[in-house]
Amino acid sequence: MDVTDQFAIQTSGLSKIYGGRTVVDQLDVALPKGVVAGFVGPNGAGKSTTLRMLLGLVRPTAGRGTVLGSPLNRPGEYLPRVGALIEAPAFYPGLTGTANLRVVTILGGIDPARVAVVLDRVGLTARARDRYKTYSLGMKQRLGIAAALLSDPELLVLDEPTNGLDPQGIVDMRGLVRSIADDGPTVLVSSHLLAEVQQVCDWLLMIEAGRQIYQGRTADLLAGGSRLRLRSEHRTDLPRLGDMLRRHGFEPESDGAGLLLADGTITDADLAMLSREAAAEGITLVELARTAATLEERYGSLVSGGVR
Amino acid sequence: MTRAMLAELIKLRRRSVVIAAAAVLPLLAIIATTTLFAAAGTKPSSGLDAVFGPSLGQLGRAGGLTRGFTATASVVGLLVLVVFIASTTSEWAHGTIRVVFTRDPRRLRVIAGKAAALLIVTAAALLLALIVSAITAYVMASIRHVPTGTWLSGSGLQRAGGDWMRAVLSASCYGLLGIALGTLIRSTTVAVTIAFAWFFPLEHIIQNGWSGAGRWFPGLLFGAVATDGTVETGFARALLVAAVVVAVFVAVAAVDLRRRDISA
Repeated sequence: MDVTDQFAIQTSGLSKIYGGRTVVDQLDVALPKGVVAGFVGPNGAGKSTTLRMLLGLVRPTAGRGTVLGSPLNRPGEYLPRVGALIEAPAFYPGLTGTANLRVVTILGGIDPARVAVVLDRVGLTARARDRYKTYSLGMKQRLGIAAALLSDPELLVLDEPTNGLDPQGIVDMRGLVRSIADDGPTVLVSSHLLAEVQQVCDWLLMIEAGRQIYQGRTADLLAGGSRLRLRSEHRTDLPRLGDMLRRHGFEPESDGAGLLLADGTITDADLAMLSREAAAEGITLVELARTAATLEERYGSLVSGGVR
Repeated sequence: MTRAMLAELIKLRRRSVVIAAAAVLPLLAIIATTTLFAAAGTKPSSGLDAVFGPSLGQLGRAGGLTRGFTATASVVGLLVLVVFIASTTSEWAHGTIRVVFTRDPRRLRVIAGKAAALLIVTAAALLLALIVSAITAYVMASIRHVPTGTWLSGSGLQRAGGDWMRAVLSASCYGLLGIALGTLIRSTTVAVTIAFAWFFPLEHIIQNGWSGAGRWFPGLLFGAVATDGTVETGFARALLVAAVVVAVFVAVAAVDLRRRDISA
């Protein structure tokens, strides 16, 4: 099997420079097929520009790549198999939801019967005959996703799909993205809302100021930042607990009420040993638990650590 | 290109567009035809005066049926220019150009399909305007006692068909130039301002001081196409030079469209 067949998106040195300003800098992406990937970075990090390059809207300044096995400079080969919602949903205000989707089906040579299917999928059937300009922001986002689903895509690209939504709208959108992903397409969701990405995505591509700082499994990234927290019954026992840990080769950090250990290689046997040793020292542990790092914490450590 | 054309036709089925096409142009035709007949005197006129101020005798000849329509068509050009510019730039303003080009990345074909759809609707609207103008002409002829015997003769119908064709050609020149400007400038306000500044005051101011303006300036040439030539230039030459001007603008816009990033 060709290596490009394993990846929905693969790029090498992909860059975009606008007037001397590097917006996307040497991205080497290898996005496996079938994952739900989060494309993470702060506003202005270069996410939308990267997605536009992948969709043939923006010409890369340097680098190359493939989408669904076809080269970036031949978007006509892969775009029929890609669905995309780039930035804010964009439709004709005076047309109904149905008519807007009809325009998309005609342009893409898509079966018009798909219009009713995708409208039902995003829960817009009841408002399909209303003009787009009467839709709420959440409905506009859902129509945007419906348009992206029209071609029953192998790769779905959603750029900030929760932008501007209220909390319930964000929850609904998360559920929709998750249910779409269950149908099998590779999904790439860009967002600067890290908590949202953490809940939905099993793969991450993280960028900062146009540069790639991480790509890989979400679980791997979070595992690298998980910690062990120990808390004694009496706070006055914490110094003795710290001494005991250091004797066993650990480097505890205090968080005020307890002690934290990096959880990279701590086994269950280590946990049992620490529990016994503490008891032998006369220290009663009321907490001995692994705490997973949040994506926000890991992103922060990657940015501050200059990891590439 | 056919897909893009059909998609554009769906967009044009909006109520506002239908009203504009079915009401504005016929209304202009009624006003122009009524005014033409009401103002016509007995003294024969020539040149542009024959287009915008024919005598009752000239109105009674073959071709008199569509004199009002021809006067309308020369004004319709600017309307077409604005509509085509706005239709193009609104794709960038609404961001719909992103959706369009991710569904069909063959940019030139998409814009060509859009142009084709707009021109089809324009031609149909002009045909409707011609019919309304002809009906108005019969009403006004009975009031002003203008003979209508030659209007539906073979020669009269040929003139009517020719008037419609020239109106469509002139509107096509304005329309294609509008799409080229819209594609290049991508801002409705800026593109319309530039177009109006050139076609309204500038061309005519320069024309007052330079007799060659009518032979080379696009707006004056497009007008000459609509009116079957002017004193400065014949129809065939006007059409040829107009086509060259439009082709240059379209070529520059096409190169720009292919190369420029879609950042809308």
